[in-house]
Amino acid sequence: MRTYETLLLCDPRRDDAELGQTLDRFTTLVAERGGEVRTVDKWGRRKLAAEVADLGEGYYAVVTYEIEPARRGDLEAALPFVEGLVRTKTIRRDIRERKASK
Amino acid sequence: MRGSRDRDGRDGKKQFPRKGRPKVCYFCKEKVAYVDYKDVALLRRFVSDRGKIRARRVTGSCQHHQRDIALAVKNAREMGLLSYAVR
Repeated sequence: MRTYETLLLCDPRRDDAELGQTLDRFTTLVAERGGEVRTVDKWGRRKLAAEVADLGEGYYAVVTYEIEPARRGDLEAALPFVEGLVRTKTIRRDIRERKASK
Repeated sequence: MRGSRDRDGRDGKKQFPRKGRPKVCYFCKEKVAYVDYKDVALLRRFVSDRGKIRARRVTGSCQHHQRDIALAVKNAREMGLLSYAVR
């Protein structure tokens, strides 16, 4: 299992309940692939520095989770079908933690 | 030395006197192990008003961290946290 961190950029035109659904959808996708969600950090709505997908604003959330590296591609492939998700970026958190402990 | 800025150096290039103490890389100084692309407030210091990545000679970053900064800024741009260079 490896620790990953994904920054989710969600459509801010959706209401809070719908945004909650989007996050839930993501966490269930992780769980379905044998992953384990560690933390969900909701940043909330933020003005974007530059337009992304014709949006001037975005709803951000950072999710850290553990998942088998072999299943991660599978997770990534499912993301375009999550409703309300505009963009995601995933980094390997374990590298960062290893560097920090050095 | 007054007027030395206008004098030509040995190889014909203008030589500028080195002034003040050399800058120290922020990330080396603070012992930051990882340049986080989500830390917009910090990255702003390494980006010009136009949104361009500042050169090493301007910020004093070391080669290693300059590379990390560039990657972090680019990642932040993709996620709409920083703007792309304007104009």
